Amino acid sequence: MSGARTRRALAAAALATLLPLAACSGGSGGDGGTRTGGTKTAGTAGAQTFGELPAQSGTPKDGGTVDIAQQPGAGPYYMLPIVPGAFNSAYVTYQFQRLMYRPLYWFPEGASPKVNPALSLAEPPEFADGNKTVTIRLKPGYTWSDGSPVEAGDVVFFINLLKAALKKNASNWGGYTPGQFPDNVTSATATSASTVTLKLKDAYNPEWFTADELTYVVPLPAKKWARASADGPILDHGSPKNAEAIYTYLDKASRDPASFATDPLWQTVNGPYRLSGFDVTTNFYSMAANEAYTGPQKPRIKTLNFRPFTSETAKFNQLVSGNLTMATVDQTHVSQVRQLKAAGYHVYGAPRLGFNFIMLNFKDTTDNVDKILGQLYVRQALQHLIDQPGYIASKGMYNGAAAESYGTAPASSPYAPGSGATAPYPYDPAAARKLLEEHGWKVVPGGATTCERPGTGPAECGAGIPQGQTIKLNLFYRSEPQLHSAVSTAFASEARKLGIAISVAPKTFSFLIQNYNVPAAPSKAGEWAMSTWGGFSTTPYPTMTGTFDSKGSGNVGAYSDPKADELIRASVHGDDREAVQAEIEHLSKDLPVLWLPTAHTIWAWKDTLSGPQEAFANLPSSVLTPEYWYLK
Amino acid sequence: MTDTAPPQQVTSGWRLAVRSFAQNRLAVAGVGIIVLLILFCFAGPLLYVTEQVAVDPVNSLLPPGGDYPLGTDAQGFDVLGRIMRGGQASLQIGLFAALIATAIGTLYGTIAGLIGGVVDGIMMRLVDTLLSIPFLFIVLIAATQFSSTVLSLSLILGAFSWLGPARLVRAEVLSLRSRGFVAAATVMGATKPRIIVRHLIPNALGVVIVNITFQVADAIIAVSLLGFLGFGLNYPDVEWGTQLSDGVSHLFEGAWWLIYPVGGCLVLVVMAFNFVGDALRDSIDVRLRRR
Repeated sequence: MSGARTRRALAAAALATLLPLAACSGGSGGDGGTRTGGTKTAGTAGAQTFGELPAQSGTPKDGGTVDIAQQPGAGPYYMLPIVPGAFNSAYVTYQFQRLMYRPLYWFPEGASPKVNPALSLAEPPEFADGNKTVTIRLKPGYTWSDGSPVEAGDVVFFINLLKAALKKNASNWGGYTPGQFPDNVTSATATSASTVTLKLKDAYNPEWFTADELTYVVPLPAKKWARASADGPILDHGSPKNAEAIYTYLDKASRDPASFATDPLWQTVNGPYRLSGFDVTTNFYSMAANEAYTGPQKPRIKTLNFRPFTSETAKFNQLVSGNLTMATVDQTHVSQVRQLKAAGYHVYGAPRLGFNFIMLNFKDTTDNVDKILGQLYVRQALQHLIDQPGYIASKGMYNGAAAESYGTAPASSPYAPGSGATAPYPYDPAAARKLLEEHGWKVVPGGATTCERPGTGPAECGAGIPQGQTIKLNLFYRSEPQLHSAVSTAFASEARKLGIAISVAPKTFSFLIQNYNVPAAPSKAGEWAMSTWGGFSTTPYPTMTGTFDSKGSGNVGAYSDPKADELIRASVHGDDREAVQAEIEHLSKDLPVLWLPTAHTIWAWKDTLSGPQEAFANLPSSVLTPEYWYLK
Repeated sequence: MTDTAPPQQVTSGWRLAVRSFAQNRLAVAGVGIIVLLILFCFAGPLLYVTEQVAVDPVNSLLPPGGDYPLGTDAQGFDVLGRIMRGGQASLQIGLFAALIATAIGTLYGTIAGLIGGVVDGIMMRLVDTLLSIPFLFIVLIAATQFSSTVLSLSLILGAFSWLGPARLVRAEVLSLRSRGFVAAATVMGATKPRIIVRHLIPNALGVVIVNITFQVADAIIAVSLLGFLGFGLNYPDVEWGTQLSDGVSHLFEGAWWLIYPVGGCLVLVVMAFNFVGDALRDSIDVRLRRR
């Protein structure tokens, strides 16, 4: 991830933390964890899922309506699948646009965050010329709803339109990172009706380019949309001037919700559904099955109603009263999971694609914080103070609804190394104390631990740390939800026992990402040592380019490590498709951040709704595949 | 034979005020509640010793009973002990803020009232202007600029709560300055500072004392509001507003013990200070005093 993409990920993470964090309650929820001797254990603490996916059941039948709850604040919506930063969110992309406009390469595959060949419009791309040429062959048989085929020209149309959008303003695409797609594409040519050839500026790792770049590509109906006005002629979008005029027209139409459902422009779709209604006052929208859908599964459900809510409580009340077919369950309501089950709902959750952490600021020179955090043994000691299983089990924190996480890739990722589930520095205050003492610190539990042996030797405090130095850090946490306060307090409490003073204070999410972010606000680098807000969302191929490489524009804490730089470069530019594993493994141990558990995103749906398990396994990723659902 | 009348016993104004106060049952109850809460918050932790610094995630959100008479909170802190600790901060901030506000307001109002004229006009228009800005708005902005400590919150609240006392005291001084003793002091060559310190403030003390009690109650509510909105004290310190806010986060889990006990304490203390304030006003003002 990098630059703008990191900002997008931050925003996505913000929304994600509003979504999930659901928890189960041994006492009242009855879903996760067991009780031993009156104390809730980590029975499901660290479990990769919350509950089990129900088996497919019942006889599929066509028709019916499914009512789905929108996330509070999910709008505003935007139609063109080149979403400006201001409109960009997981809901706009995955729960609105992708039901109508299918990407070239679809992910995830069920619960696994990887490219899903079955739902992709093209065969896996072929790389040649030292990974500088990419050939994409569209699968035969995919058509637009008007019957015309999805062609190579539609892919090129998207790329031309994207370039025009970015030329106009870099903020016109939320997924934009300068230097990456489409900047790294020299030319995009439709060499036949079903083949697109991309010439790249540099050699790229095929796995990275496919999973993290080509998944953004959404073929658009060039023969319908390549015009500068509603009744204008079809233009040659290969001309930058024409492309800009076309983009201007489509962008304007995309910002007019009142005409979303009536403008014939948007009725040409290649996804399983098309928009049939949009209420501009409430953001309620409905979708009707696209009878002409040519994907692997024709939709059975006739109508999807996406109902807006102003609060989680209102949403939950509607869920319990049976007025919704499906909705997410947020943390404050998870103790009522049993009630949901009694009302006839299936409940399932899993971690979102991303990771959670306490960010470290390596540029905070106040009281030598940069020198202290620059020492790996200090970071290791701090990580030893984080009791992930305890946090997950605690009813006051994750309440069982989170998974242990010690790296940048979730365990469900195909790129996660085998050691991904193992804590490199597990909760062990004694080990933390030993680390400090072995490096010349006099540990004073409850007091002030001080450096007694300054110097750069193996048994000394480290470069730039003078004799008598204490460890004083501040930690700013996101003010909502309360989970961040609980986690930060628990961490500060453990540190205090080791003579490390951590002062905690809340800040709003927007304040944190705007101010306590070294690349974005270098002048404020001396104000913060640590921060936590809910984590990053990651791309399917979870390289941390731009995020943890030394020159990354999204490197919030200014972490810098030559080996990490080298491994990240191999992930993006190398030839080894598995290169990211080495990167993940190194970062997991080098601690650019302190790892925290990743919360589950939980969904509830009526037991009258069924389908293949994979069609529900992707819900925690906020991705909907309703064409596979049916009402029993 | 002498024809002298028996000596008439003269009761001082303060004694009459105390007698009137003592006859007000709500006031006595208010004083009792305040004393009990002060003992509960400051002496309680000496008798009921709990861990209020090291968190205990494993024992979080336990209901009342057994080792925890009022259960535990999200961090595993004993709620009864937490209320005592939170009460210390809430009462301290309430008292400090009230003293600061009253001190500034009394001085400001006295100066304005005594000098009068254009200076008074300018000073009171400034008060009017500041009163037109929502109190919470100013306090929230100020609270975000400083780290939250008992002292900083007291100063912030005190610095923005003196407007009411300033108006009250000015009105009292306007009335006092036309009295004979002020004129006599002026004729005898007393300076304005001396008149303020020796004559006006002591004679406006009744109004000031009454106001302090209401200021304490208001400051406790204000700091609780700040805490509830996330601008209260931070770990390891706590006040009642932050406790309430944390409790609301677990409302749907049925953790009533995080809300009702601390909420009850808050209501009690504010109510008690208002009872006392009302009774003091009735006692000190001869027109309102029961005869």
